[in-house]
Amino acid sequence: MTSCDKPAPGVRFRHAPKVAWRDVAGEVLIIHPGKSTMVPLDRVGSRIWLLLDGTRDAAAVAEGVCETFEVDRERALKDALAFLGEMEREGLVERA
Amino acid sequence: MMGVEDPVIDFAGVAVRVRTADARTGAILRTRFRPWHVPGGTGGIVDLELSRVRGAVSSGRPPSGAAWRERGGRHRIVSRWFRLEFDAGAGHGRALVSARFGMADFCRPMAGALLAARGGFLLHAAALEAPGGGALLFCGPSGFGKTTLAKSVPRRVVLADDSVGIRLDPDRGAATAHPTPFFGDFGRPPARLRPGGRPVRALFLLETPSRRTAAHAARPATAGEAAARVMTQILMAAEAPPELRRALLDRAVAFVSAAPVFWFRYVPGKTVWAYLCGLAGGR
Repeated sequence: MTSCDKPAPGVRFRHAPKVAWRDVAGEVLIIHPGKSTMVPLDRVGSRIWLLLDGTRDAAAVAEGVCETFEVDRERALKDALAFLGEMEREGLVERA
Repeated sequence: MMGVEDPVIDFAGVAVRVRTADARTGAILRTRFRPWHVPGGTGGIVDLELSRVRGAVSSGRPPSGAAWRERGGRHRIVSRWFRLEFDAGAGHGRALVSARFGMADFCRPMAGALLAARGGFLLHAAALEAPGGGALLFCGPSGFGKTTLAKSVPRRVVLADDSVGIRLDPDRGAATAHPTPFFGDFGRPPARLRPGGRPVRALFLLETPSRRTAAHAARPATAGEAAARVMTQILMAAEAPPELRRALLDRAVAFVSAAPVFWFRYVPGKTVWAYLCGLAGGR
């Protein structure tokens, strides 16, 4: 299994080094280092991004999402895993 | 030409004295950029030695885009058609420009790079003089209606249809917009266009043009949406070195906090100016 397969709930993630980003009033903007493009995240994506400090696994991130938004845990976990998988493929996050 | 003073051209507060032995280039700089000439005694001038060459400057590079490196305040930008080196702090630089590359085509990225290195940025936007003063900016990629908008309003209020210089005053949380010599399909700048900064009254983010747009509409944009759009429309941001690109993102965030920001769609024609005047609170 490669590191870029769909992550398991227990895997911890953090921001990839050299990825520049800003929190603009709760909306996260990321400068994609490889493509020199902007990656604006929606409110859920921004919340997930802000939770990625290397200490939380996907399950804990999903828990954080549930605390902020009205969404059931199963859905939050599924969305968090999909989001993290995509961010990992783009090189914006790495496994801690 | 003997006895002819090298022009000093103001690009949104960055004054550049262009020294060139190429007579045709000198004539273009003296005539086309005349409204933007400032006195030679202006402080903070960047002295730029400009030479022209036949053919490409760097034939191994792709036709578009540029590579930008910075070290210790010294910048080097290389494209297929020009090479620009400058020390933003010391105020001097040199440029090698292909004769096949228009002077306005070179000056635009040159101005964008210098402005970015000196605390501002060049924004891909149209600008209109707001009723009562100040500037209304309309930001969007090519094809989103900047020039069409400029052609739909009275000519006397057009400040730009393509590129606007932005300066920020972080202490006051304010931004000023400066007309530039770079006009697109609008053609020549309006007669009596007065260069110089105007306070930004509002920023409009142009929405994708659609035939289904039946009426003008403006709706508030979030700071994140606005900063993301602005960042993609800052000239030379994509080529900038990583540190400068981060600084530009900070400026984009500061800029969209300095004035109201709206998503905007409009129906081309004479009614759009009245609509904008109504939004700006005057006629």
